Amino acid sequence: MWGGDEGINSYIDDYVAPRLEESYNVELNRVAMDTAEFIRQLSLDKKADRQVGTIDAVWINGDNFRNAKEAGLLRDGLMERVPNAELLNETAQQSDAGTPTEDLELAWGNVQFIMHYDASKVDNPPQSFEELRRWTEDNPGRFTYPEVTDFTGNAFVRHLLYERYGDELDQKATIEDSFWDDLKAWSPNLWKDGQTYPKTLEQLDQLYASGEVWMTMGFNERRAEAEVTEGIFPRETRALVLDHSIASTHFLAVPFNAPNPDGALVLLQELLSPEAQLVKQGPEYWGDGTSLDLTKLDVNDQRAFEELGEGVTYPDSEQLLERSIPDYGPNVIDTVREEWPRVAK
Amino acid sequence: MIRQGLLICLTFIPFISLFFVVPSFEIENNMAIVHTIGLIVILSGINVWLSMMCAWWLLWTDSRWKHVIEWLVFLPLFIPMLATLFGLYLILAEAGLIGTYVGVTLALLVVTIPYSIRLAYNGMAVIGRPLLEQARILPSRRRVMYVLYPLFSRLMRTIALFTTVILLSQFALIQLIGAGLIPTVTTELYQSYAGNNRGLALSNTWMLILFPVLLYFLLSGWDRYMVRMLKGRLQ
Amino acid sequence: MLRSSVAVTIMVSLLPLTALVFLAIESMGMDWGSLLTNETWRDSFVTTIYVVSVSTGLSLVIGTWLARTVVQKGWRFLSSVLRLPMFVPHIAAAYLFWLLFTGMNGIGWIEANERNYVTVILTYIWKETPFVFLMMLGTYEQLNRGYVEMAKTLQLSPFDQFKHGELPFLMKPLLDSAWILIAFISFAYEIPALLGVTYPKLIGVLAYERLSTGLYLEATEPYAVALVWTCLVGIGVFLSYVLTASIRRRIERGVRR
Repeated sequence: MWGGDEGINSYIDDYVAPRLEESYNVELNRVAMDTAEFIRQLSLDKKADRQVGTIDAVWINGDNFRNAKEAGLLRDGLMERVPNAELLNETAQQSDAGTPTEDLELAWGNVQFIMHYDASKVDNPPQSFEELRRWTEDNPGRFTYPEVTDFTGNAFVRHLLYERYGDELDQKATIEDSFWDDLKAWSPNLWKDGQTYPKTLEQLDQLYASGEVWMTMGFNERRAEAEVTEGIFPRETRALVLDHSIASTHFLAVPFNAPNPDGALVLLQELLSPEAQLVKQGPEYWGDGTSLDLTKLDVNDQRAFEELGEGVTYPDSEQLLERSIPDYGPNVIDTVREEWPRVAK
Repeated sequence: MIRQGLLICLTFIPFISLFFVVPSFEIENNMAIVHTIGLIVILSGINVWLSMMCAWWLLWTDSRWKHVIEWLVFLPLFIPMLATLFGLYLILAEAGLIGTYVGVTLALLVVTIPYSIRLAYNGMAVIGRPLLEQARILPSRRRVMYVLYPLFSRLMRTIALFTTVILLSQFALIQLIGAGLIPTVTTELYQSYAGNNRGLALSNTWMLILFPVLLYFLLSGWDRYMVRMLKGRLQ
Repeated sequence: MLRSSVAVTIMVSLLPLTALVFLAIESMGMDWGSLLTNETWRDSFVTTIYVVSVSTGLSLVIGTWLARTVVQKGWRFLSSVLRLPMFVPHIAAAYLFWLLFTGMNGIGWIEANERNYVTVILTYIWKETPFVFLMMLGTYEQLNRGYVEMAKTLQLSPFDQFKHGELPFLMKPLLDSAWILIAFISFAYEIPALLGVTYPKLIGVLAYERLSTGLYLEATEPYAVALVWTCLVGIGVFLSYVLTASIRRRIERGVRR
């Protein structure tokens, strides 16, 4: 799994792993790896017809899932083998950024794209993407986004695409030159005059934490809470919901050649249990939205989720839900990756 | 004098950065250190052995293949490292060695050995044949212990050191061939750089610099001990 | 034991060549035309040539000058200090330079992550000059001063003294170091990835990133680029050695006599 976030890592290492060891005597060994990296790894295994691989369970979504699905790298029939899958939110479980999941992966969490800004520096935060662009003109050098090879950077550009094309882009994945020209017009006012962009979201966060830029962004509306409490992000960090926000579900899957598939199923069962999901959504480790359908839970569990409450960096949840949009399919992600370099030029 | 001082200062400037941020000295990943030390030991050993043997053969053995082989072992120096790496990746994938310790070791051996042979070759050429010929009158065990080892110990130390430095520089190689399954201090440094932990990145940098230094002192200490012991025996 | 070790070494040395064969196989069916017309690759190519030539050129000049001065003036201490950068792994050096020139620490136009690649070049110079220095030091220590003395008595200008009295003997080590550096710098990942910019990336960074991102799962492009680049370097090596062969041979004979 991707290992770039301390909160997520310690959720797995300090919370999930000990529980798994205790209740099922299954040893969980987290390996930090780029998602694309293990997909490539699995496709090599497939090519060489290696039936016993090295990875038991993967954290996956979006274009990587599409690639894995097309290459036949994942095991199916997860729904019937993981009892807790019953509790999943059915809409979330159905499709992964436009690709039908077809029982190859189970929803693990649900998040929305959101921006955060430092209220001690930004007086009148922009309300729309158009206002954001004008804001960068008034505050040159204080905003940037990650390169589009990064998951979040790509998503930022997709929000701008949605602003122009709405959901019609899914049918014809052609983006006009004028869109890229307009995006290029942002460059002179970005951090370092748009000469370079942060390689990863973590680098953007680092710039934000040090006060070099005044805004950051990311999937997961609750992600800034722990950073603020720990004093990494500025104390006045507040949420910023613009015109629309991509809702994204991330999933768990089992590779075709998992050496210990039963252990993997036990892990999935545990990760989808209401208790584990509750701790995951809480501010202590991660703050990742649950993938369970709360109406399917019993009353006690429902109440526990409701009692998690609000944080100062959380957005207005109704507003966020209202502006939620589904993600484009992987084709758009690919097109953005291929064509964006001209903006960075 | 002033010019010399200036040049020395210039050389030292980059080291100032080591003191910019307080390194966290937290050890994120024990395995990374274990892997790194393991790779250093294994690769230094193989490199010293193979390169000394090969240089010896190239310098003092008569064979009509000599020129061809000389070219062959030096040629990899001129192949860009990433090109070798991409090709190796394809080969090792075919052999199913991606993500394994063996694969990584082999790949590192391929990129370090040309440099080691070069060093061994130059070093031995300087020592020269006469001294080694004279040693032939001694029985082989004594020859190795009293003549060859003391003569070559510096050279061996240099080769081990260079191998270490080159292997500590490899991020792309270890990431690609190791498929991220074999973390080393180098991959940790890169990840903590790409992440947002400067303290951790800096403590990894410290480690990368200290490994060769420690190795140097360890090996020099060992050499001094050996020389003293051998001298004692000769008396 | 000697023979088997040599055999193993040969096998290991054959691997890079086999690697090239695999690269060639993998890049078959590549649309070469598209590679040439692709602006991203072309810009990377140009930037890479710039970075490589400046860093290699400066490292060679500074390294040679240092070796010459150290031998002439007997600067023992400097000679040992200069070896230090060699023991710093490249990636650590890059991080040190990044810390030195990032954010608030940037000095005017020298700043990490900017398009002139000044910090990348500086890092390479800092790392590679000692290498050149050591290669040349041996040569200078063995250099027959007679030729320079003769040039002096002929009242040649200092540059001509260097050109006729020293340069011919430096040819082989210079050539060796130059190509080792070019092969090393031109297609590497670690340093330019840390200190470079989003666009244009150096060719090694671009190739590695294309290879390691999911989108290019079946990509032949990076393999093709790696192959082309190796061939270019190979041709360069071949030509330069052939062209200087006669001079080098003359010197070697002269020295032996």
